[in-house]
Amino acid sequence: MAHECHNYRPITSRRDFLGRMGLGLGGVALASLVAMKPPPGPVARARRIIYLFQSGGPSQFELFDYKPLVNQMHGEELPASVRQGQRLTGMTGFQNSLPLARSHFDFAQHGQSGAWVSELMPHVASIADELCFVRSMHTEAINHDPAITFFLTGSQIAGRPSMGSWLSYGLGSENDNLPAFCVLITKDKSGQPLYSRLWGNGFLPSLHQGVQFRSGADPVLYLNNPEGVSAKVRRRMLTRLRELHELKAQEPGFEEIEARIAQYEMAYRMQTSVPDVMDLSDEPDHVVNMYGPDARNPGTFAANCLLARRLAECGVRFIQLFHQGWDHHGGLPGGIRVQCRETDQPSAALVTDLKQRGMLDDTLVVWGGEFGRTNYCQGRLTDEDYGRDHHPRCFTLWMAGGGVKAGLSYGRTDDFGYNIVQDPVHVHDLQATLLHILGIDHEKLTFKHQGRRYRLTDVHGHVTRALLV
Amino acid sequence: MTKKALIFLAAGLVYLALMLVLVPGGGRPSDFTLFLGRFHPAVVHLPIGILAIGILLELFSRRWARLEQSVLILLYAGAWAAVVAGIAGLYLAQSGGYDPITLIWHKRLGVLIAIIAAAAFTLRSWADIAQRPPSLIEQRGYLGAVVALAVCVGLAGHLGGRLTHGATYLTRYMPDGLRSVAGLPSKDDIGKLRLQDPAKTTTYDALIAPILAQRCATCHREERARGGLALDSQEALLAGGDDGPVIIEGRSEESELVHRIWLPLYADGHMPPEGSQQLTVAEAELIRWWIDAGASFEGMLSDAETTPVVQAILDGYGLDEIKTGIFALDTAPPDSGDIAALEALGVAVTGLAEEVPYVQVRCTNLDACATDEFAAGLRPLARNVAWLDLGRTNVDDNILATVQDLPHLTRLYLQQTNVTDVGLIHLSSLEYLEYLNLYGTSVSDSGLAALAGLESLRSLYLWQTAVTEDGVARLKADMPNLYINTGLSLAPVDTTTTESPEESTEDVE
Repeated sequence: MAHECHNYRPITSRRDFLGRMGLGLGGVALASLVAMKPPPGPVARARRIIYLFQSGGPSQFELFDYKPLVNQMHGEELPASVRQGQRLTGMTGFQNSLPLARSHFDFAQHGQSGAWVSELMPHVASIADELCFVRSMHTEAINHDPAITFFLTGSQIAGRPSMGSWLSYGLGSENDNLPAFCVLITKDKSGQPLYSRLWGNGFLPSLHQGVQFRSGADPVLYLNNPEGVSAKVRRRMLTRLRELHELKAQEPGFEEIEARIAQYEMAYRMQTSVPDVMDLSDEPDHVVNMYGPDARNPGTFAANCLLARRLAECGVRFIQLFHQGWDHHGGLPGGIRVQCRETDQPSAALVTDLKQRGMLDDTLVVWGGEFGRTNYCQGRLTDEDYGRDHHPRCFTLWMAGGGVKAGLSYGRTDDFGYNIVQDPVHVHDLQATLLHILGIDHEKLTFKHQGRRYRLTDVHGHVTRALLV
Repeated sequence: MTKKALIFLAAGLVYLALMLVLVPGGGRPSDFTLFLGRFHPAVVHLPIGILAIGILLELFSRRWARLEQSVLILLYAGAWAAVVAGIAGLYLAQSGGYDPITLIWHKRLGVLIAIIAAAAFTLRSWADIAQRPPSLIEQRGYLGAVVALAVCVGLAGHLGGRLTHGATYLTRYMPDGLRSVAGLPSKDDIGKLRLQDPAKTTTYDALIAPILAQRCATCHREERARGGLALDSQEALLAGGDDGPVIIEGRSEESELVHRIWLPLYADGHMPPEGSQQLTVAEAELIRWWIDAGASFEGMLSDAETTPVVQAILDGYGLDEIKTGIFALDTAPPDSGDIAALEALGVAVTGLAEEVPYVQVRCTNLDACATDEFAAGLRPLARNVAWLDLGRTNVDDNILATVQDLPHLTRLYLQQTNVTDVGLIHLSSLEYLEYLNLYGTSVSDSGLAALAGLESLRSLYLWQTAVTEDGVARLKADMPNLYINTGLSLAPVDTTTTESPEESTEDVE
């Protein structure tokens, strides 16, 4: 079969990919049916993912992982038997004392499922029965850069394709006029930096890289033709440019030019498609208001959630939002309050809005950060103020829609919230599960690069079937 | 000499027959008994071989009369060999663990062979001893005995092989053609769990009952409940045995059934007994898992919470392959030429999964799917289209005339299109349709009536339509399992708790 060929030849367009595969995933089936029956693969449950990435590491202790014992033992030292000598960061590794810090915020059980959610997330709590909480996420990295890179590309070391690029490569676009992978970042936030490799295509053809929309009123610049250039002139210019590109593309070693041609064409089509998506004039007020007061302020998390829904409606495969500012080493109660006010209502509204449009059946929404936070305090512990350090051994993430079990709280941490005692879900497991939900076997979506086949989950990952309906 | 020989043989036969009648089953035989018993397979082939040659020579002796003396010797030797093998066999049988029905017939036939061989020898030689020519009765009786001997040796040998190697040993590699004549399943299906829809099969019926039936029920069934325990019905399983219950719901570690299975093979009380077919580790684990999960007889397989180990076992059983709905159908894969033709119209076509013949189809622009070309392009793929997304396009009722010929459609997106009540009538034939999105269309209560017969339908989206609460209620009455969404709003919540007087957003690294 052609895709078994060991020669390096990047797949430059979806058409090419399909051509080689026969017909995307269907083509693999065709080819394999003739030869031998492959092991059963996943059947698609969803068509797209909206990933609400909370950069910095939201504290599970103040949001979703209720730990009465930590509250009781407030101020007492973290028992060594719990920590078991596990590594700490350089920020608290030299602290004389590691006092347990109770959550400043109250918890309650919500919905029929009885999921524990804190008072910081009242809107999310109100849709608890739609959500699937994974309280037993764990990762390998303890600092932001490797952790977020690991989460989104499957490797702590930069350079691998991101999750959205893999999906674009594997499934292609459902809309020729918009990129299959769009990235929206909340404006005016600070905190841990975000960088384009988090939505980069790595060694995949550059067609599959995420397209970052600017945070603000003009998410894509220069959509309008400059003064004196009519649409017709623009089209002729691009056609001629394309011809030149095609000449070059015929020379060996210039395959990436195919991607360049495709991107020029995409940019041309985006001149009309993006203004359509951005134009909120057809959104009724009650829908916009559902996303909260920030929804009409472009670039805010609320506005981005609304935009994400609109992009999803247009068939964008992977929409990745980033919201910075969850890295609360100090001043946690005040800081997390602001973060929650910015994200709680829009996140819940997005799920609700998708549901009433019938889109939650085939859209998976994911909400979470790159790791969790410690049960002990970083810095000075007072009744009103404290901080928490990075904690990779357990954290909480929630999902909604896309064939995951609604109203499920999966996994359990110990009473100290330090280690996982039941059903751990590794980052690679989550990645495998996300691909599975979109109908992809994570072990089969590979790309040959520098003599070796790569995949999002490297050589790890198991689909967490218990999360799926 | 011959008389003496006959008396010895008669004594041997009496001992054998008494053993058959008097030695009870059950209880634990002494090691010496088992030591002797295990010679059975070593000596059992002697009577078979000797008597087989005897029968053969009897045939030839019709032509060459000088062979007659050899036949006599073989019959006598064969009878003795049968006595010795029989005694050893009856000792061996006490070790237990054999299929009882097969065993009892094997025992009886074995003893019968010794008796018939002795009888044949007697009938043939009695006239010589009495120094008179054989009577007609003796001649007929002798012939009958030889024929009976041939039949019994064959049958007893077969049953013995069955006891040792299992009932399916002979037929395991029988060609499928012969197997089907014999009413056996195909070779490929041997040992596979035959599972239907996991949503309609209980874990007990699908996984547990077959294990108990295969491994335990030969000794523990209603008709023959060793230790007072039967494991072939729910009631009996719950009732337990002479020593009390064998299952404690939710606590496998306290359940006698699990305890016995996991005991070491040599330990007293290990089940199934040494020498009989043991449970595989996977089977033992499944039983433990089932009991820990509450030992429910009603829980559906699809609802069962699996552990990683159990999931691995189930994957090995091919549970992943359980197919339901359209996936259970034998549909031909789509033609890639037809797909390319459809894609050329500006339509995205993607496979639903690697090995299934179904695709999802989505319009990528407003008008591509509102054309006759699209309808025509869809037709060759009619049996392959499972998801059809026409949402937010300019399609109208016309396309639904084509949609009604997509028999395997499970998801249909018609939101924000020009379809009306009139078009919905076409959908009534879609027996696998699970999801229908009509939000933002002009459909009203009267259109909903056409949906009432869609038995597979589970989700219906009707936000921003002309449908009224009454219409929804009426449909809901007809289809209680249907989720109907007519629009949602976020519940107002008290956000005062999240407000704070001081608003420091201090991020420290």
